[in-house]
Amino acid sequence: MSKKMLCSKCKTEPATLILPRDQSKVCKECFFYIVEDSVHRAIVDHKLFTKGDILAVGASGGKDSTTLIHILHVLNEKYDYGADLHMVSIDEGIKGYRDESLDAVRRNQKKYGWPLTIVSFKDLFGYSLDTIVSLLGHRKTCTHCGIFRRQALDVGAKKISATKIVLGHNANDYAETTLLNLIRGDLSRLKRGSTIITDSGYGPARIKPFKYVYQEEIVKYAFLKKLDYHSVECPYAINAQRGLPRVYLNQLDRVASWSVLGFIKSNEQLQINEKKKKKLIAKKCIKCGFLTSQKLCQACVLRQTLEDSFSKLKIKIEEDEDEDEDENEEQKEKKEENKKNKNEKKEEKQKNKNKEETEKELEIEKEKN
Amino acid sequence: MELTLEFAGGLENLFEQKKKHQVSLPKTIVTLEDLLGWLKENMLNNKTDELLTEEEDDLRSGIICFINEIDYALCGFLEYELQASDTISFISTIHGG
Repeated sequence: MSKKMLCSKCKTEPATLILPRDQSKVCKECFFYIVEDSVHRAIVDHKLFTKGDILAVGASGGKDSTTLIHILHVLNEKYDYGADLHMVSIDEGIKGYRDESLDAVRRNQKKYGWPLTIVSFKDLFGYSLDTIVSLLGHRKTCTHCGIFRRQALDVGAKKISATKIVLGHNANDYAETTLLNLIRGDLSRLKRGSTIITDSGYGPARIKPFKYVYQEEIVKYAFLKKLDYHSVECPYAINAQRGLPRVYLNQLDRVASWSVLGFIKSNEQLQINEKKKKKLIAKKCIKCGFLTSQKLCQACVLRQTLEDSFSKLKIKIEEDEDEDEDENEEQKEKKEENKKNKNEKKEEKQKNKNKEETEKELEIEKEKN
Repeated sequence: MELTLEFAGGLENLFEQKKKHQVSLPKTIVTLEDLLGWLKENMLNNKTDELLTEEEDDLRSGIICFINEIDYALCGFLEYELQASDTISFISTIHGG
């Protein structure tokens, strides 16, 4: 039977797996080696980090970051990178989702013994994502989250004096982003999205050692190594725009497994003649001091919007209160209900407004940690 | 025939986070394809599309399958003949991240 087929790499052990990137048949140990080695090659060939670097590895508790942490742990010992490894997690404040995935992060923290820093939206900005959604409605949630998360990750990295931020974006993510930016005609983002190191000049550079590792390889690796990860979809990620390219790539992958890497390679070789690019100069946000290209950083702009809509809500509730004669517990409960109703109404209003808005706002929807 | 079914990578969410299931199959279930039909009737309820294609005779794209930790593609795909005490694992590659 096919069980007797030998691994195409070591030629001694029986093949037990199909390697997603080229459909070759390999044994378990060779598979582990191939995946780990492509991460090692990415680190060495692209000089992602060197001895003495302090790495803030974004840990979401999901499959990518969990597998990345495991592999970095293995490689750091095997090749003696001498990197100082830390986990940094962002707690956006999403009930029933992030709390559970952070439990997975904590279990892994115990397993690998890396220090863990958690930065929460609530502490840093004053609002959890759940509150943001109740104030501003469901649309643009991923954009808002992306703005805060980007900054939160930088703050987390700063707390531990990190020199690099390490993220778990995989080859499929790269291919998807390439396709998405092609569809949008956003050529400068298309090009920027192709690099393995992103250094915006604001905070430490972001490096992505999984750039050449297929999503399916990560899942197979995590499954066979029995890694402990959380795999629930974020309740706010109803993202049709990314969804379609993803489905398309998945289908393409079935008939042409090289297409994911093909997208990446094509993008790497693209040369785009941009008209005189306005050079972005990093300056300090006048409010929070964070580095930005504007007067106010995006996070502060968003915070202002939140404060405005919060105070409007407060005024309305206070008006309602004046109409009430006496205050007791029941009334308080009612007020909560009112608040909820208002939020729902607000959401509806927002929805109507949304029809007029363009697609550009989905920019930062997938800044994973 | 007694089998162990395993659901991971987000598919466990279909079964209240329970990953491993011991099942006892009737004699009519011989191949992996038969098992998918049985799953549809007996375990998936209205959530068939999380695991199977619309035509419902194959695994949806984004789902990988291992039989005793061996890629089902190396076991004859859906024609694989089930053996007593096999562990059949279904893992989603597209959930979360």
